[in-house]
Amino acid sequence: MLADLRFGFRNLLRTPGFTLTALLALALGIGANSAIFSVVSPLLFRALPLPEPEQVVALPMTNTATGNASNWSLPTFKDVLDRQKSFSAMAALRQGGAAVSTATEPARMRVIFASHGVFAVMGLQPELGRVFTETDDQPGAAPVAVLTHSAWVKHWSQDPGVIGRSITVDGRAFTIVGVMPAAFSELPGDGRAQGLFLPLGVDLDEVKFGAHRGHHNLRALARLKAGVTLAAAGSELGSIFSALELEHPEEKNIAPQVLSLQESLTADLKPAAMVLFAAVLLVLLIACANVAGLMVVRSGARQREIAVRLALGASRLRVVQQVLAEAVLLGVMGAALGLLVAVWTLEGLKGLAGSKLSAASLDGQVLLFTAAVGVLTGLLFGAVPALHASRVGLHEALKDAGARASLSKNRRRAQSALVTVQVALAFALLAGAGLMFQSLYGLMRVNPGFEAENLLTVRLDLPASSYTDDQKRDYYRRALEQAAALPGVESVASVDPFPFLDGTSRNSVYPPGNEPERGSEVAANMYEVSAGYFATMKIPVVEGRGFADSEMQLDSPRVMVVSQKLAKRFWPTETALGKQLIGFSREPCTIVGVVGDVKHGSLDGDAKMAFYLPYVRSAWLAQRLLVRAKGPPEQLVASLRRLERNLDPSLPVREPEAANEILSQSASQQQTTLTMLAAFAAVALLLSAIGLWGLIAYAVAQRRQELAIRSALGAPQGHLVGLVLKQGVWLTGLGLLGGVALALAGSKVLGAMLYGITAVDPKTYLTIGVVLAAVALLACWLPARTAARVDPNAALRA
Amino acid sequence: MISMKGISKTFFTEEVETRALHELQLDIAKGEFLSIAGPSGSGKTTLLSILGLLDGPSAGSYHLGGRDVAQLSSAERARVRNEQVGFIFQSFNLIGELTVAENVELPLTYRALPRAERLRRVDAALERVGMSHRKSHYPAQLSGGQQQRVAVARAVAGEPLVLLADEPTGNLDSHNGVQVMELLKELHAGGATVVMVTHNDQYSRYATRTVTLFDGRIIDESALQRAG
Repeated sequence: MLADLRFGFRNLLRTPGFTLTALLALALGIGANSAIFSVVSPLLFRALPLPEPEQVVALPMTNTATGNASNWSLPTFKDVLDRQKSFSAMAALRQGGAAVSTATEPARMRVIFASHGVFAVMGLQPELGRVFTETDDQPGAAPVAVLTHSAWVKHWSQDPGVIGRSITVDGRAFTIVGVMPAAFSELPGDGRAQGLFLPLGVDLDEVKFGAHRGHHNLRALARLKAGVTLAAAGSELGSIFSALELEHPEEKNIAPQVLSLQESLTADLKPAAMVLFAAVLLVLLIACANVAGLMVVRSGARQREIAVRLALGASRLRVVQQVLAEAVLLGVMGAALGLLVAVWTLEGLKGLAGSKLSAASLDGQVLLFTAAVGVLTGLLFGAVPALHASRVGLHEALKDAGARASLSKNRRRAQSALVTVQVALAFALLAGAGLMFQSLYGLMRVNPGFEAENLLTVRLDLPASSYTDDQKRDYYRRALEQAAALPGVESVASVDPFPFLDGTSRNSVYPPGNEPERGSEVAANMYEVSAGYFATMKIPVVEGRGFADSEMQLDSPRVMVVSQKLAKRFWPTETALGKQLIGFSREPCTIVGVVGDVKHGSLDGDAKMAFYLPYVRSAWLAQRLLVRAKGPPEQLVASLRRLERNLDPSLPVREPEAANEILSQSASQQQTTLTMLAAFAAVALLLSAIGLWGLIAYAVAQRRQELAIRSALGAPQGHLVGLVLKQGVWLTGLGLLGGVALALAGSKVLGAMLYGITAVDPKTYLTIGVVLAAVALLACWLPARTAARVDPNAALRA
Repeated sequence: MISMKGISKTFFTEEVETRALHELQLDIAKGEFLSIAGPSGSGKTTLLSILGLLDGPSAGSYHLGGRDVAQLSSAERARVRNEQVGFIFQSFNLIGELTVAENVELPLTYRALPRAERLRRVDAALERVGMSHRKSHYPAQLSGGQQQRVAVARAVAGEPLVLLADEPTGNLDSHNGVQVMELLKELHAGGATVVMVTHNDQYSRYATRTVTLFDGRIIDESALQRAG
């Protein structure tokens, strides 16, 4: 074997043109795979950094009547915790943001309000101090906090004396009792670092509403007992919920699932990861077909050498081994170069996707993957030439020309098949990229229902501990007044939640006297807004009017504005104006306006039904300031920061965000996927063009004599060009047909990522077909020109 | 019918200048059977390739059928080759992927001839060389002599002004060689103009005239003997 490798290495050195071309193709193919593997493996394959990570589960809730995702209420969580036997620990948690006093200045941080079981679920011991106990979770307990490792590093400079220190969280005092280890630097279920854990018992939101079974505000995590399967735990939860439904009718139609936490964290990334993996796999296969084609050509030149080996007594298996050894050597060398390509690709990807890919690196796992791909690739592309080598006819090969002709026909056939495969794979990849491009183009042109241009927004959360409701209303009133007075401002308003930045607040709505049964409610998005909201957002008022300033008083009549969809849902044939609906407050509100539908969260989803209420009666009074600038909004950023500081210097200043950037970020996953797909498709196109060029050039060289005869017999140059192009056209046509079949087979995976276009769009297929055919023709053109210039004298010299 | 005046051909390879033909004068009358003889490197093949418009002369004039063809473009040369010259090569030069009939039809496909006319000419040409019964065979299924007969059929199917044969018996045994020479004799008897390059004195005698080349010049037999 070592001798085979040595001989293979010498052979590769002897044919530098072949070796360099093959290495380039392999480096591109393997490098792309390694880069994507390095991105995807931490997301999909790397286990969470927790003990027995497979036992950690998420318990997402679904409303079985509507199919919508739901959350847990605290009473339900407590009931299940008491009754279940499948889990060794359970935790309920909610995440939010808060202003936290740090070692230096106040900072805005992510906060997880969690029941004490969260640490047992994660199975980790603190690096410093302790975690919560059951006592810390009780209402009235001394308020304590546990820092994540990254928050400790960033805001407390890893000070070991931080334990016992007092901090304020939204103005309330807490004592730091523990710091979690680095392995646990990410908050569970979130993936974003820097924050702290607070006991659920001190969450004012839960204190206020937690006793209501209808207050679905918590997520739940659990750790399976050893030996308990997901299915068994799911079935136990199902029985508990059936019993709860009988005891508490309001729990009807709510069903929990038991999913591995790893899976639930990565579920939404899976389609993109699958598509990208499929793409790089296609690139690798094209590279393999390309190199196999080159090796088939080369095996023609080595036929006599192989025949001599066979004549000297080598077995055919031995010859196959020798060819495979050379191929594997080439594959491994390609993999080594591929690592360079992977480094550059990964840098490019990080530039595109930023912090989302921070976990991606070329670590030992990626190196191992790359080496394995190198060896497997070698075996794959070595198979065809090895098979050819083993079939060398001894007598013919040792004799001469006539035999060479018939054997070269076999090689040409094998090479044609390989080129057809390359074209087919390239078509599938290009079609995917083409569809993604159209999808993204369509998405960027989607009207979200409001005008994002020149609109800035900044969240103005006020800590309940230092602001009474009246103080909050006064703060927002002043914020709106002062913002409106800033130079360059066209209009201002406030809202909660903002359609593309905050979560949804879905609530049941019904006309007075028609309260629906649980499970058959009509749910709509609720927005709490200030006067001037629709004008500032440029949401069209279709009927009636928006809110007036006078309606931003606690004693003003209860009014509501509804979206067109919601109006049509209840009053399909008549106007909604003047009608009444009951929303969140349980008080009938009179509809004073109907406005256009607005999308929420993502551009590719449908706009949901929505209703709008004056923010002054909000239960939590959290608002986001909206400022529409007369020109480019960037010039207002500094003034807004100053305004925030003036309103309350004790609060951390939040960074204003441009609405159009928020919108384009909502399509950023598609954008990144498209950019990568386009890059891989370009590589695929290049590789298949090289493959086709190689084949046709080889065919022209093989047919030089025939072409000379034709030329001697008077064939015009155009005829000779046509003759050569015909072969390319025929192979391209076959490849395109195969490509369509491949693309159709892959349409299901891709379809899940497309917006406004089907994965079997004939126009895209046609366009890609034309582009590929044009490139293929170009690749054939150069050897065809050589064919046309063949010297007819060669016919005489044969 | 063929008139060459002062034809010279010079090749340049890596700063080395090789004169293959020196101011050669050659006239060939319609219906003549000319044999070109001479040792290797004397310029026979170069002369044949200029006669057949496979190559152009470096200097001199060449009239074929009354038309000056010395300085034609390559496209024009291809057209003239196709319509006025029939080639018979030493190594037959049949195309392995085409049947006998398709090989014979090949030069006709480069003209705007209706298919029926092409097929008629193919049948007639194969009949003439006695290969009609093998029209669906592939060249590899034929003997060397049979392949050369097919090549002759291909050359005559286009009804050219002149048939150019380059060592037509070079790859054949003596029996098949004689048969091919008899075939050329028949064609000549039927009115064809034939120009043949051969080393073989015995086959030279089938020609009505022989010219001998030496160092790119036409010399007479005695001059050749003196030089040797």
